[in-house]
Amino acid sequence: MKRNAPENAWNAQTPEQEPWNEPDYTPDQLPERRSGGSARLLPLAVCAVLLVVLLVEGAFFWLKGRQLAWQNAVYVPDAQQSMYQADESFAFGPYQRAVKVSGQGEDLGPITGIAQNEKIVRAAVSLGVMNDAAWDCDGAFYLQCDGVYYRNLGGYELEEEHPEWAMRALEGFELCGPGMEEGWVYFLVPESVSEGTLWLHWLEKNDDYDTESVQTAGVAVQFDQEVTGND
Amino acid sequence: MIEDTRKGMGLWVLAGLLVLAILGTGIWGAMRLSALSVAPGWYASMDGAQIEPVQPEGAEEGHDYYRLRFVLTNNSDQDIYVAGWNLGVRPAKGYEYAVDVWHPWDESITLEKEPCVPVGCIGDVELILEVDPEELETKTLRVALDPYGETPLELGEVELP
Repeated sequence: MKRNAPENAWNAQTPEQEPWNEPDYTPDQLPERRSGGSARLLPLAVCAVLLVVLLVEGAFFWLKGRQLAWQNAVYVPDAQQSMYQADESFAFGPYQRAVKVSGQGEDLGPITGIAQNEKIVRAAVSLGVMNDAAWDCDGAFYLQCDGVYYRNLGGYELEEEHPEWAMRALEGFELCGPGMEEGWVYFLVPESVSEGTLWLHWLEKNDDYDTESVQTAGVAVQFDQEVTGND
Repeated sequence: MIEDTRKGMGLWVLAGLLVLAILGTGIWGAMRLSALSVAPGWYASMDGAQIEPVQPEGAEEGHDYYRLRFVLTNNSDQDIYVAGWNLGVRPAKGYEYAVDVWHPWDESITLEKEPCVPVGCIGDVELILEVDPEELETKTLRVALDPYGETPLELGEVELP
């Protein structure tokens, strides 16, 4: 019987099974499935590690790029310059702040601690009230004499020798402040200076606090009046 | 069993793609950082340079002195101060310190304010140059905006008379 049985008789007793149609076995009954799971574990771990590396790398380049971009210059177009009459109120900057500059400045002469051929001059400036402080701005004062610009002296630079001057010294940032201000803007200039143009600069800032544009207002000021008082 | 192998293969393919992404990000990032690191820290230009010999008070023997004047346009987002620590003048070749921006030293001076060219403005610049004629190998001088610790910006060249 066995001898006469067809060659595939034993195979005929087991049902035909497609290799991809696996029967339902419990995990204990199929060691191959367990090894397949562990085979996926390794590439899964590798993928997780690579993903972390990619995220760290991306964060590094992004942060470093931001840092370098912050250090690099931003191109600022030429300032919009407008001249105004002295002793007359004019609207300055995008918030149209009322400003008045006296055309008669004061020559305070030399003070201790400056070079022999230099002196201090000052110009009187009144700033009208603004409804709100402008946070997207920075301000500055300059005196232009024969094409050369001098930035104003801050109160902290004057307080050691002349604290009474420092008390009424206006700073550039006050151009953006909301309150009404009245005071003096001080400059350290060569002895030969007797007149100049007082420039008020309004620097508009973007979200990164880079300067986007500059609006300036200039007023001619004379410094031929010598003052020796302490006011 | 075959299904498991396919899933494993898929993860290995994903790992390969991640490796490629890491390499690509690295190359792109390095190129971007390189471009940013050599980008100018300033936007400025020099025009109408003039140079003439002078003999300033306090001049030292053995040195020649020249007054350099030019017009500077500042389109940077910072003021450009007119001072030796900010504007550098060097010979085009030879000993670097054969030329220097000269400023008389006075220890009694405690309040000093250099002129500047404000943001967005055009201003006149005047520098006194101190030249060591024995060390000078060329009459061509390079003027640069060269603040300490920042990438210098070449403004142009001038010829000594």
